[in-house]
Amino acid sequence: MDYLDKPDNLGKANYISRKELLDQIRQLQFMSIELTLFLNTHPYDSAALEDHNATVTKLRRLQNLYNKRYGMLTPMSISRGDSWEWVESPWPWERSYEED
Amino acid sequence: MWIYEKKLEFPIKIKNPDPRMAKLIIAQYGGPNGELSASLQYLNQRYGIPTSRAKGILTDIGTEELAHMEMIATMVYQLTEGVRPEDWVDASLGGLYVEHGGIFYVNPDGVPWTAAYLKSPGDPLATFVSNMAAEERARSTYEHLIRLTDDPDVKEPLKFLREREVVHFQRFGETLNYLEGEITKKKFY
Repeated sequence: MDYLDKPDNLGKANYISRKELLDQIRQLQFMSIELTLFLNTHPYDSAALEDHNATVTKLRRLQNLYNKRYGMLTPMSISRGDSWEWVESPWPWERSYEED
Repeated sequence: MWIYEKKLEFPIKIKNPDPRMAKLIIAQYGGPNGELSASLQYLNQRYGIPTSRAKGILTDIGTEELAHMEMIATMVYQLTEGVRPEDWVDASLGGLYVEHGGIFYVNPDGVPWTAAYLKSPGDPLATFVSNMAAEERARSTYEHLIRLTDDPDVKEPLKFLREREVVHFQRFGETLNYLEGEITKKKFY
């Protein structure tokens, strides 16, 4: 997909909403959790190893894209602008969090 | 170390408050088979278990359970957000409202969480047999909860969590088999 290939391009053609990007990150992260647990008990499974590395590579790109476009998912990320962004967006238990 | 991520493992947005359901779901927050118990049990067991594989599975499942605890807290929070104090009382949640203004580590009967719930026997086979049983008890609690609501906003996250217990049970079973194999190789721990 376009936004995956050009994560630095902020043009309109590459628009992805916050919620959509968040859900994609969540899906990749879920795959990574599943593969981690599986690999802990199948450490020589080469297909799973390959899937894990591919998933994490993709995940990192989307996390960087989220950070650039929508802000901080962890405190160990770039805070854009003049104020500390970490405390400016909703918390996950608040209903407004899952809105676009 | 752990790094907080400002995000739930599975999205939760409950439109309709339902304090009665919140009271039941709190079983998985502060109850004996809840997510807090699971997380702390597995993370503590790491210090008395041999083999790197077993340490890995306890670390990573213990960590995922923390994320599940946050999902449960979120469900209780949204199911009670904005309801009147009288509604807390009518749902037999008056104690939580008065003493905590919301969520606390109790079971649906108000019994506070205790470390006495946890099993950490310090024996590899006893540990993993115990953890498999813990996952089955959590699965069964989720199945009971799923029967008690018709709201898809509540049902879907509960179904996700139920499914995770099944996966954890599987991975713990594989770890148990592995440890049994190691023991019959005459490597005694």
